[in-house]
Amino acid sequence: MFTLMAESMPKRTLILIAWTAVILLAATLRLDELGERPMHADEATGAKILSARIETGDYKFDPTHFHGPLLSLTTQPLTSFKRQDSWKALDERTLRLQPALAGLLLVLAPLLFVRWTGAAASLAGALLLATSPLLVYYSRMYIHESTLCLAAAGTLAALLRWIEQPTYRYAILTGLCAGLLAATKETAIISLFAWMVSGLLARKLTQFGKPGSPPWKSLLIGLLSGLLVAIILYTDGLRNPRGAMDALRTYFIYETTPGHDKPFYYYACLLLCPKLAGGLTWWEGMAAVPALFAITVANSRYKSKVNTTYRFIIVFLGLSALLHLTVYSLIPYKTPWLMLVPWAHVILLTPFAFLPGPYTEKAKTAGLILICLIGAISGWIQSKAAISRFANDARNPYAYVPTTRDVTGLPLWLDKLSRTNGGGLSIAVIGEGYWPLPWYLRQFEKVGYWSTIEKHHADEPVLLVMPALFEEAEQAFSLSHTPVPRGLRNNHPMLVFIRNDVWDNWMRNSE
Amino acid sequence: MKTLNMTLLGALCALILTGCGGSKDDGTASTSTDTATSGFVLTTDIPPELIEGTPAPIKAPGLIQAPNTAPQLVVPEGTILLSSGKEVSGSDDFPIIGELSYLTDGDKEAGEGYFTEFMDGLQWVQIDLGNSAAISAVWVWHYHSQKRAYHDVIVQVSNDPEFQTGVTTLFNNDYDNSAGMGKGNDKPYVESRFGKLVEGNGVSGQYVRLYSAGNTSNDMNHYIEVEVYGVAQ
Repeated sequence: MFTLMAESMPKRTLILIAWTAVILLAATLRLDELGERPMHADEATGAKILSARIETGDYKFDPTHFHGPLLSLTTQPLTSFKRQDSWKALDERTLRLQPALAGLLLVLAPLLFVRWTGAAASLAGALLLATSPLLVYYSRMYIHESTLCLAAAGTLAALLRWIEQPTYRYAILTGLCAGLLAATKETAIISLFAWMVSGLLARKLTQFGKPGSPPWKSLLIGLLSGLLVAIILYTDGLRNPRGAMDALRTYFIYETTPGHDKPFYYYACLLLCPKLAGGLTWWEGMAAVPALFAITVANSRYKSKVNTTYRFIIVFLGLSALLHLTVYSLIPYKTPWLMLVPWAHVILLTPFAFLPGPYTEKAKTAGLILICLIGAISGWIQSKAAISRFANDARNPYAYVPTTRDVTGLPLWLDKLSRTNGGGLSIAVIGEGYWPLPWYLRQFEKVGYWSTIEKHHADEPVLLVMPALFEEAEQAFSLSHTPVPRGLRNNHPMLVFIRNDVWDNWMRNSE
Repeated sequence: MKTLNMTLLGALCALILTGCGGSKDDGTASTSTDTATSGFVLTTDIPPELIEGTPAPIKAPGLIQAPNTAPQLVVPEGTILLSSGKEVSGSDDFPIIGELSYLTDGDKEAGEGYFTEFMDGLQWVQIDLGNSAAISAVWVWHYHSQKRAYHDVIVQVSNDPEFQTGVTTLFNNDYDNSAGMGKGNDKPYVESRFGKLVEGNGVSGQYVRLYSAGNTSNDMNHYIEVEVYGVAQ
């Protein structure tokens, strides 16, 4: 904040007003109607993990899937505050408040770089972070990415500070943030790798730093701090020692679900190729223009006019973004939310574009402000569409395998059906890939899950059958049950079979 | 690309008692007769098969039970297509894709440029026939490039454009009453190029309203074509 204090009074006031406006804008996009969108399958599994923590008071990391402990740990205070102490009591809004708050804090991340960029320029980065449809959309989804992105931004800022001034304090701070990052998701290792390689390359390319041996002691302290934080979180406060080993084992035994393999260029296209869908052009490439400008200047023949520290940071962030993108692109398993961390790198470069350079300052600043404003307005329009009309529409490039709204009405109907048949109807879910059904069926006492059709299912009053078993189910239950089609996820219907006597009771009843 | 070409061959079929029943799978309209009802089998041009679209990340086989022949319905003499080019209104005045006029333009093909998409939730479209008529049938195509079923399909007829009074429901498959207009006994069905043929039963009305509330593949509501057949009064 010392850079802000150095500004003149009217400019300081203007900057504070602008920051307040950006934060309010970010908050509106992240907090408004959080409970509206149907629960995504991944959100439901995250909620289930959280419910185990709040119902038992314990946490046990599953290395085969489901990522790290930080998401559920940081959601717990919110559920406690709302007195939601069980699986049944949880609601969408409370869960999504966690990523929304993380996303809101991420908007403040340029302030962590303000000692290099200044308070005014950092505003441009904050504005683009606030309005990026990618960041906005996944700030409203109860998955790990928003938290991961915030922890990555914190680690980046602390790491850069440590590189500039390798004190124990900054080493511990970097380790703390990196530990939180590692406790969020196993993909943290990609970021750690990208930062290490980028740091070494950027140092070589920019001739930054003093020659000599690295500050090994400080580095060791940082590493130990990070390890300690990660171990404490993965072992649930050392109560489950196996968690530490599992955090390593996950890299060898993690099981991805099939159907998400995509070509190498998927992410580059997601971020940079305009897509016309639903009457809207989805493109946030404009937000990358200031970053590209900063990188170009830092590596041009005018580079001598850019401070070496700034050059190092710009090259480091640029290389890191590129390495993240490359590594994620090389992995066949791809989902759009994995782009949050690299994209945040790109936007965090924005304030560095305003640093003194070879061009006329006024013209350059005016041009960059115009680009940022166009990027922000375009991002705001897309974000509004992405979280409202297209929140659940697969044409929205960020709505990945969305849950259909039809499923949200299912519990109400099943409850009515149960009551008209004396209550306590049992529900059998048959087949694979049924999430987020457990979330929507959490109020029912008798719900069972089977991967195949079994003989006794013919006696069950309500059967929810997944697509792979449609034909088999039709043959098995054609005489005993009445089938009705329902939607579950995008292009993923299900058939609900109601036993004929239950169906007849329902149709006779006036409810 | 206009394909509307309704064929009313009742008189001819009355002479041919055998050998021309049923519809062909290739979509060619065919005819038959029922001398006992002094009517004729309603036929229309059936659009060609088109399955398109990039597979979703998790490709599901889709719903089964899509028909492979055109539905048949005997309608009274004098029945004609009343809805061609007629004015269409709807609960969503600004469709996401297409125009309201697509519903009565005669085009029944499945691709982009033929269907109109309305937003999610319960939505309705309404056709003003211009004058009251005895409705013989309503033939509707929501979307047929994918096997899917639309939820809460309700077809109503009235002389009141607001549908406050004198409303007759011809079809209702809202079995869970989620649309709030009463439970419907009609079965949910899978969309196909053959469309859904709803009996009009001679109900009198100037306006035909159709509801839907998303489908088994996504939340949106779609219409390719709605044909209202009847006897002008």
